[in-house]
Amino acid sequence: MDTCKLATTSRTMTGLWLCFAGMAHAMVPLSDNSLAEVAGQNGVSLVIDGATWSASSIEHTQDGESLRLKGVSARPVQGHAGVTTVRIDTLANGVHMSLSAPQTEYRIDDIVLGTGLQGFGGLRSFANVNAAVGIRSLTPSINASLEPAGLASDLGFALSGSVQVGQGTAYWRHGPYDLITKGLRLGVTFADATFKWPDTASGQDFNLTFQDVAITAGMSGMTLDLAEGDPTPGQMATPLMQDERDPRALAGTQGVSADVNWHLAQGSAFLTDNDKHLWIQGLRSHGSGNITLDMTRRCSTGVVTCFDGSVSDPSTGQYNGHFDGLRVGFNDVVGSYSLEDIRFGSSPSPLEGETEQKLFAGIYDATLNGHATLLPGGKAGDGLRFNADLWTSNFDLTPASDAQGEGIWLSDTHSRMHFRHGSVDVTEAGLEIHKGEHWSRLDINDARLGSRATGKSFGRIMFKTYELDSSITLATGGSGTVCAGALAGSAGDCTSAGGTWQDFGDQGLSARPKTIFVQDNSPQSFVNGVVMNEKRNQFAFETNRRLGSDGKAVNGSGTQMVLDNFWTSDDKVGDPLANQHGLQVDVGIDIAPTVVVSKVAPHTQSQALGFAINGRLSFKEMVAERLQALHPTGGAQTVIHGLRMQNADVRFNLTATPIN
Amino acid sequence: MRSKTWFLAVLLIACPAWAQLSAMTESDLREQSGQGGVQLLGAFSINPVGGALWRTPVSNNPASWSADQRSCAPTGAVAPQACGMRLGLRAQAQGGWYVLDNIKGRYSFEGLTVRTRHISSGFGNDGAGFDRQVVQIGLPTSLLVHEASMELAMSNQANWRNRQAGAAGADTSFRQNNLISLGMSGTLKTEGHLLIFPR
Repeated sequence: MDTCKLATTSRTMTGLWLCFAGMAHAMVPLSDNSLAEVAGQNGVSLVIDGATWSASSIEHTQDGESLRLKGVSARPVQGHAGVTTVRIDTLANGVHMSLSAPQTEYRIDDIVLGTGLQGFGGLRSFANVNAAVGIRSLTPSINASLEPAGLASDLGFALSGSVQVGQGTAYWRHGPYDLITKGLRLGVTFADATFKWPDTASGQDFNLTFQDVAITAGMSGMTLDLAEGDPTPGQMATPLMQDERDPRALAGTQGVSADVNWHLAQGSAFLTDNDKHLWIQGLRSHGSGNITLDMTRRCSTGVVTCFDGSVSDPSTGQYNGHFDGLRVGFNDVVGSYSLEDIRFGSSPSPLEGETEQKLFAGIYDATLNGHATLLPGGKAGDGLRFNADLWTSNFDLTPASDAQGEGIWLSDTHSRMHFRHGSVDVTEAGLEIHKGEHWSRLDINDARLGSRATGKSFGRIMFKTYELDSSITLATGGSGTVCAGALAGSAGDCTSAGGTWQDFGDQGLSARPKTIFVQDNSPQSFVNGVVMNEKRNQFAFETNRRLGSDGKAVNGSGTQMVLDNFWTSDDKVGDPLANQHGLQVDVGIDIAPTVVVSKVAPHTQSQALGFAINGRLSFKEMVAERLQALHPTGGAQTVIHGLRMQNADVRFNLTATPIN
Repeated sequence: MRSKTWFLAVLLIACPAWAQLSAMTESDLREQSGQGGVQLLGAFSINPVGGALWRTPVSNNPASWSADQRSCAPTGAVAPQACGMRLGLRAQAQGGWYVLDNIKGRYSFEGLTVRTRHISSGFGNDGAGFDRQVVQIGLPTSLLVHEASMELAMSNQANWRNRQAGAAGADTSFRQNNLISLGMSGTLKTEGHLLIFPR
């Protein structure tokens, strides 16, 4: 059989050879190893020293809208030894190219839409690029000989190789500030990506297929440079010459704003814990809204129309102050999220789930407003710090309802949360989230049983919290080994102490929330006998409200019980304000075999799978100042003048199994 | 001129089927009836080895206790005993405190169920007129109580303090009079359901 070969013995052969249709070739594709070995002796090497290119504007216009990249350029970085080398070698049926480019600055001065009054900001990135690609021709189709002369199908070439971008630093300049991403690296390795010419006979267009692609990417961190402008005007910071000045001033007119809209029609999630599985099915979500991304700075002294972090704009009654950092803003982001079905099973297939429950749970029409402002650097070392004010309003929540939509509904609910100096860290204990100073309020206007809009209401529930240094630590591992019903460290000791030894494996979820409730000693402001201070721990339950003209219950028109001003304490002799222990819960959650008992005598037991929750709850002291009873016209009366709970250390084991 | 259609198949990435769907309305949610509920089985122990506030001292003599120690063994006993939970409640402004002290015990149960249920029939013909959703709590098939105990007492202050003059952290003005001790062990068998619903 004829073979189409390059004259590899010739030392002057270069270029790309393709084998055209009309000949039946039995060509054996070269493997990657072969490609690597067959390097031509006399390939082409191009050495480019200090090359620079630029374009003042690159514009894309579509349907009357234009996206313009202003000032696009690439230039080598001063201080780096660098020449760009391109090398081309010939192979038996293809070509091998390699590219090595040292630290080069790739720059877009601004990215603007439309008229250009608002821009996304400028982007500068510094990176090394190394690429190696082998190009070989493809075997033409066997039927080619039956077709008329011309291009045949299945003609094209195959690419194998990799592109590595390394030592990357990216600066997103937004107003006078930079968001800096360091240690960027990206690697794409592909084998046999094929590119086929269009086949006029069968109407096929270009065809690009990837067989095997491996992508790795990473970055070592992000930082913010809140110093205004550049150290030397006109000379922008580079990885070798960073900007280390003190910051001042406010955000400009640059930033990113995105109108988002999402639909998740049907999704499912899958969790595995030591060969036991949980499927959550029928996940649905949809929503829309506006999300903004800005870099902001606290106000400097003397500036008039600026609201610093903890100060609210009196005209709007909201916290619209600025904090240092990357501000993610939410404007009327309305969303609904729900799930339909949970199943437990020991086989990997959801269809063989052993225990199933049609459980509808969801949150509907939640409108989110507010912001979270992020700073790099957590409580210790790397991590993240944050300040946030978040309002979620007008939503309905059901933790459990059935297919008819009947169940428990928290209707017309509003929630607000504020965090100051919170942080997120990854430590050897797990993911630690510190809430910093945190206060919140949850208003459930109707706790209903029945359908979402017309179910009978238990009444109104209001819950305010005020915490300092609360935290939650999340880790994997679950409960591990547990002695249920007794305290013992080994299986033998456990059984002899009357307990049951259980091993939940080494997977699962561990959570350790520590909540430190703080006493409110500030001057009190009352409305109808109830203290209205915002930073206070308080719980209220109101029933027997009268209906207003719009058919909705009027809050404050009924009778209420209020647990007013509660807090945790260390009850330390000589230090009445000591409050470090708080309310601590240490819980492990696993998917585990459980036992279900028949409700009818003789109460036979059967095996099932469910959630196993093991844990410990402790507090030194929990105090409540008073329990009040309120009448809409008669005012408030204190029923209990003080509550104290002390010295708690409760151990619990619980399994929950869905039943039908 | 043929438009360029690029066909890209990446085997390792599965793309979800995105579709332009609108939100499911409540009427769409109504399909087959689905019962739902959960069965709970478990145990909890109150202060099996003492609590978070008071460490157990080595002797039962209050004079030797440090400021964060307390033993709840009966007076005159030789060996100290770890303390249970303490609950205090004041019914009058500036009044004394009702106290449940040294609360301990292990409680285990099985067969406790919680579900919601729509009742529109039965109950001696009351059900048809009722026609409402209730939370139905199925009482446990058995409830084991193991060495549960507590003391009912009165005290003049909210917090317990060591009365022994000279001891660390002592407050000789503290008074607590134990009125009665309660202990319970055994198995409670219960049957039936508790129905909870808003009026």
